[in-house]
Amino acid sequence: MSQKTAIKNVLLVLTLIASILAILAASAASPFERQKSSSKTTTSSTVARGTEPLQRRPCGSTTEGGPEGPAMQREDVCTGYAMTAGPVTEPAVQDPDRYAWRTFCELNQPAPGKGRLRIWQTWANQFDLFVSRPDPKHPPTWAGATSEARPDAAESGATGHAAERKQ
Amino acid sequence: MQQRVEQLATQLNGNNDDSSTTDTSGLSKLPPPRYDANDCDPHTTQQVFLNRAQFEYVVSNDLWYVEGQIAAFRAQKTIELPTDATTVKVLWRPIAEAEKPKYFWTVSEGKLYGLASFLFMSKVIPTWTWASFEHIDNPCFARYEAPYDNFGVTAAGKPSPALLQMFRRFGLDAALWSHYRLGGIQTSFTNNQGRPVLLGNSIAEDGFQTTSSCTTCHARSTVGPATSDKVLGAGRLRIFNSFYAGNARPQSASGAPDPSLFYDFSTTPPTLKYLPMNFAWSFACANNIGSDSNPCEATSGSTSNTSTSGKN
Repeated sequence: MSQKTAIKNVLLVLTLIASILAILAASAASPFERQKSSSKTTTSSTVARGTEPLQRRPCGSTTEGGPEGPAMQREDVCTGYAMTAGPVTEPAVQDPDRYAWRTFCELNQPAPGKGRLRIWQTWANQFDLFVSRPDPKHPPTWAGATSEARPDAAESGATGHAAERKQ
Repeated sequence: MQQRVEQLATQLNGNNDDSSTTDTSGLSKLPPPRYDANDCDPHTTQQVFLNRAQFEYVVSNDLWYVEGQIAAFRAQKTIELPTDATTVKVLWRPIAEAEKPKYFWTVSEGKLYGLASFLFMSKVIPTWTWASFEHIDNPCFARYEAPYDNFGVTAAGKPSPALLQMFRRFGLDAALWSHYRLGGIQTSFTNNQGRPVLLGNSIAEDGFQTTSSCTTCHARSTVGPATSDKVLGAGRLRIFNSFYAGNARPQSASGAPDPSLFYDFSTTPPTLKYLPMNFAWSFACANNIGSDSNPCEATSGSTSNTSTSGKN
């Protein structure tokens, strides 16, 4: 009988020790677990509130619409390109931001022999191509559309370009 | 600009086709708009320029007048501008004399204007590329749509050393041109997951910046059997496809274009409804033979001349 009691006591002590160890282990892990659980909660609640940035702020940050237009749809994304490794064979699609700036610089550099005019300012205004009273027998010409002497060319001694119109 | 967009909205009402997804006929019944969409546009004036490759293609294919475009529709001709075709759109705002050092400027009819926005479209890829640049003083630049540029700006938002070097190489004064930023460049309808890609200039797309997709919008440049110069877009696919009552502005389509806009698939073979004009909205500025409707000109359309450009 006393033997049985001793075994019971040993088992009780072992159970107590196991319980204490389990509690200690749980409390040691809890900061990490709490953090994980907390971030999960934050994420899900953010999504639930509809304030999760669609890509990066402020793009897509409007949720109700405003002077800029209606709220963006959740599936919409703004332009954005990751830099990719390897040779660039198609700059416009593989390195578009650099391509955009390079083209910007090419177009805005001074036009040779045209004073301070930029390259694009020596091109045809769309109204010099899609002219008033078109006559198929007399199509517009590039020389005529970009001539400094054309009727809508710049005023008083300027080296300007085609007329501007308010639209 | 507001007049231009409102004019378009009015024209959308009268433009009878089946491409609209929103009924705009009851505009007068709507409550007054909650937002003023004019906040972003500092009274700009717009110009569009076409390079020689584009010019020569349009002339040699008789697409510079409406009847020539309709003939292309009837022949179901494929309109493909050359790969070196480029278009530039510029928006000028009135500026004060003291602002000249930070603007590329011009004088028109005695008034001083600064370059507020610069956009180019290039046919370097089949669906074109669309780049939007803005002056940093534009009222709504970066307010509603984040600029994206991994080349021209540093993490602190300053011009990158690589960009400054590029300015020098092309003879551009960095002190002036550093006031301009790339808003973004669009090269596709969607991203690789099929999500619609948006890009809008805060002035050019004032009031519909949050729905603007350059590629999708320009894909709707078309000609149909009943196209005319009566009003801008008459007999063509509508520029806009919806309306936002909050600011009383028409809105852009985004994502991949709907094939049923162009073809009637109830017939075999499918019937062409509108012939795509290769993403170039300038075609909508064409007049009928002998006509001076000039559909792209505004109702207030003062014609003025640009006489002087700013420094490098």
